[in-house]
Amino acid sequence: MGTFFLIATFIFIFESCNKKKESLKIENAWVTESIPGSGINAAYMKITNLSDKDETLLSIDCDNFETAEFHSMTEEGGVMKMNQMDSVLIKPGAAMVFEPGGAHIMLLKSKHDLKAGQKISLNLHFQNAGIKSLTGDVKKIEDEAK
Amino acid sequence: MRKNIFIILSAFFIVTSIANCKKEPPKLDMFPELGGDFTLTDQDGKNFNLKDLRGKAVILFFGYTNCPDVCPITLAKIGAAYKKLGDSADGVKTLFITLDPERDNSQKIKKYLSYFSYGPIGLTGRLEDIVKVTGLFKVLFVKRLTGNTNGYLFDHSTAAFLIDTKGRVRHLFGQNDRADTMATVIKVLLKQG
Repeated sequence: MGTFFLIATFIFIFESCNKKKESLKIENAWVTESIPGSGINAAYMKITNLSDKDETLLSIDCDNFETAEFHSMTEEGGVMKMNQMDSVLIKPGAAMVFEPGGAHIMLLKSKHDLKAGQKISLNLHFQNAGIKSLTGDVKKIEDEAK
Repeated sequence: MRKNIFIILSAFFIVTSIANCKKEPPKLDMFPELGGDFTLTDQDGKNFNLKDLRGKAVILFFGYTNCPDVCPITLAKIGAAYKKLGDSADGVKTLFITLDPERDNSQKIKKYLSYFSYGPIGLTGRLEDIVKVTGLFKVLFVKRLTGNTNGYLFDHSTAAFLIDTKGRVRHLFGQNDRADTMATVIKVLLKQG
């Protein structure tokens, strides 16, 4: 019995040590429901770099869209300027927040209209962490506006 | 002991002062340099004049249907403000004027706006007519080629104008204004008429 516990403890310690610490935390991923006649959707999420190295989000792909782009938003004198970012650098311990009215992921040329309540798969390509696949909720923008 | 009583009294005074310090009520102003009547084409292809909405409070917003973020969010936020207004929302109409008449014809705007439950009115027209209207409201917009499948986008003023029942601009909503703030300001305007 004692031997059994000893082995079990060793296995537990070995597994705990072996478990690779996640370098990224991706939260609250959601995509806007398609607005008829628009052809453009936006994706939002929060990505935290938990590692001690710089991380770069290189691209995003999604089966339902031809392309995806990262856009930053800056307001100058009441004029909102949108700029495409080739990639997104996330410093160690820092978070990149894509949110309504701020930086966002623009999804272009959808193959099918998205309806609220659906789930959608997104693949995020990172320089160090490689591909991270996740599922986002499709939401009606009117329900998210505060 | 006396020192302690002084500290307690001071703390009490500060706390009660903060509690009594009411939040400033939303302000309505006059903007004589902004606004004016105009005629454009609505989503049914008919002539529309701002005068047609005399007697209603009007929210006026400039945008375009291919806008990925700011325009749908602003329209959605206005929708959320309508919900907060309840029955008073009957006295409010929203106008969405496209900055992209090249792509946004009446049919496209109609389809786009049908998504928003509170029935905003969509307006388009010839570019020169739209430029005249942006001039009235001092709205800036710049077309920018993107090189992606979307072709181009616009940098544009994001203010939404609140117009009173007599057709005068009385308040400007900014991007950071929340739906509840919008509803509160609109209520003040509706009370004043």
